[in-house]
Amino acid sequence: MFALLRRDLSLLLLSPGGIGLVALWAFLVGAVFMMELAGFEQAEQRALALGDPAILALLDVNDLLLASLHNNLAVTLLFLGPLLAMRAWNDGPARDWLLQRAPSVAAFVVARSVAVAVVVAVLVAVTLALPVFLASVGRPAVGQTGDIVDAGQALLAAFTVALAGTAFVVVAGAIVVVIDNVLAGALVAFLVLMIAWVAPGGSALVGPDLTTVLQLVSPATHLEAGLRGVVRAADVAFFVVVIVAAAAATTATLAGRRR
Amino acid sequence: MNDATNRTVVASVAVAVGSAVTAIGAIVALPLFGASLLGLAPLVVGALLLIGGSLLTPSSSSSSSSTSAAPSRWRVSRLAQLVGPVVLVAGLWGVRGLDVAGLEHDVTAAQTNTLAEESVAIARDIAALGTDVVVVSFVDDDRARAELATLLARYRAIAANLRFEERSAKNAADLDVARALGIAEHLALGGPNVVVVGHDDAIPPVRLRYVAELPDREQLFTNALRRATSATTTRVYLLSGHGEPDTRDEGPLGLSRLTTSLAARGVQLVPLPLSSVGRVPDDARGLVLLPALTPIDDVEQAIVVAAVDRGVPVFVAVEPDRPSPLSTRIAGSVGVDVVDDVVVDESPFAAMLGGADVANGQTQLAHAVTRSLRGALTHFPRAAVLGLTPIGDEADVVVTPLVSTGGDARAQKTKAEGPLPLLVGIDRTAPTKTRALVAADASFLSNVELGKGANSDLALNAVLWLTSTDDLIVVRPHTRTGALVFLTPAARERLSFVLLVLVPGLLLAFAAGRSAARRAR
Repeated sequence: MFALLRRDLSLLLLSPGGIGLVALWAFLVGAVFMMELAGFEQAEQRALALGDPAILALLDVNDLLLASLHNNLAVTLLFLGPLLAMRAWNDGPARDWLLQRAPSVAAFVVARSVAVAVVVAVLVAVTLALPVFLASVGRPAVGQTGDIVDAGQALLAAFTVALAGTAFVVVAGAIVVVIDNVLAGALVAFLVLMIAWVAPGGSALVGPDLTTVLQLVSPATHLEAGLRGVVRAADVAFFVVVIVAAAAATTATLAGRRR
Repeated sequence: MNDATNRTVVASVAVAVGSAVTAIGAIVALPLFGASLLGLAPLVVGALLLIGGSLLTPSSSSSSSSTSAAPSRWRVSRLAQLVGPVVLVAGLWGVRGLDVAGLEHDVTAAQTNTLAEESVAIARDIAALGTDVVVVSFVDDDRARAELATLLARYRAIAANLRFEERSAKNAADLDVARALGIAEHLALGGPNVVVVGHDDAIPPVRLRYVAELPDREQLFTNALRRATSATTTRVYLLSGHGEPDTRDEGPLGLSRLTTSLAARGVQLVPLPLSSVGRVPDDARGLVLLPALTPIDDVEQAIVVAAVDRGVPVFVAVEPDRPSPLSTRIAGSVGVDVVDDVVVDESPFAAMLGGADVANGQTQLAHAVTRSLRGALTHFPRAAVLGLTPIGDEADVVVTPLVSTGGDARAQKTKAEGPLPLLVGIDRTAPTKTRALVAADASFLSNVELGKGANSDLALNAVLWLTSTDDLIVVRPHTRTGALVFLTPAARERLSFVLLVLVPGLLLAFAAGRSAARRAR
């Protein structure tokens, strides 16, 4: 199992394609951060022009900049997740060979899921440099004291995004395996994730009961608390359930084909 | 062509069409129409075509396997695929349970996601009621709705009997609810959009306006919840028995509209026939003196003066045509002289708004009485001229002209030039803590004048301020330090270069190098 994990990690992180994906991620993170920073600086200029200490006190980098940045990173993973799944499950005939040498199908799927989780965690962990950067260049607004970056909130937000990103990749992997066509599977996975993400926005079209269901199944709903620094058991459980269910579906599909 | 070939052709067409529809949906429909039927339909149709086409396409990993084995393989695979959905449904059921249980922990250093102690106390009071308290929201803005739901969830974590109903002004059935709650006409005008309905029918619902990023939202809600669940009724007495306007009179000169509006805010305007009652009741949170038709005898005057001296807040409204010695005396005691004169405004603007003898008031923007009027005009027909005389220590008495005429107005006899005060608020802290209001005109409170301009809001705010029911529990929400991030243009340029060029560029170069090395091997 560890050999499988090592192989998948090497494929996802050290192969030219894997490094290309990391480069794309780095570029997107940089672009999103620069946009968020520009937005914050605009709000800062307006607040300074008004000169009202009460308004200056509202310039919270944690809520205005970092929470928004992490939310956008989750959206980015919505696109990148299917690409990562494509990369992970694009092993063609080699998969049968790997499956035959794996202790079990479940072990194979668990190893691959752990590999993508590690990759997503690494991608998100690198973004923690941005709060550190903000803490070094920012300072409390006029007449205020204290740290400007809340380490607890930043770490929890990164953990939440990593958990959501892992769920996206594992779900995309399950769809790729079920459809058994990497390109079409990744496209369908992107659509499924996208629809689940925007589903609560369609509440005007459905009744209140269905709205509750849409909110329950949407990852966007379960990200919100984590991004503002609240650990909610329901939100963590949601992503864990999605990961387990997707891995179970993948395992069952592969096991079915093996017979 | 055999069946397999037909299937391949159909699958290819389905995948191609599905891809096109999906691309159009993602690039055109979703940005244009958002999460609506038109926005989502192409994505759903595209997804179905892709799934269907993909399922019909021969497997890529097992294309070499025999065709005859396929039906059996698919049967097993499809049954096995039920495992994932079953785990998902059962898991989501559990997530829903955890959601209801509300297990959560705030990890922020300043506990910014936790209610302030004052709010917790109010939430506990609500929990102790045992009956439902309902917050009905007609907030349509998505961001504000999310903020409101998050905030109310914190109260609900303590008070499970606090219900939250989300409605929309765009929905006809919900509009009926808005009408029943008395805010239907306000919704279109940007007025109150949230109503807090308490457990007791005797307590009127509390209406408030919620917009996104409201800095003092916790204080707003804590006070709204307190008012909607607090059974204390504020009584303001109107001196009567001398031909003063009647609180039940629905005619143009009556006060029925003011009485009803105040009742909706938890304030009862009660007639006080002093000749028969003989005293100002102890529960008086205010006393209103309006122009009388018959003289008020000395005994009654003495009772009123004694009540004002012991700190009962008083609202004196005078009329130049009906001078009242009692009103003049009370106004004088709080530093406002009632001059025997009338305000006139002969400017073309005033002529357009009601004539020379209608004084148009401009409001003091910073005061609690007039802040919510946002500078809206008020109208005072035949207003008396008021003069301000300093009394007592400046530190003990704050006299504020809440509404004044414009510069074009003047006193008819004395020729004093505007701005002239039309409504004066007095906040006194010594020798007794009390408040007083003196209005240059009494008719602005009448049914016929109350609907003009911002007169109604002014009258309501004035009485609420007088009785101190505008007092809020001061809630100190847990907040964090505001921050300033300054980057020079050069520093921003360097940062952009590192994030957008250097890091991705180095990674791509590394990828290209590895790829070339692999090919060389």
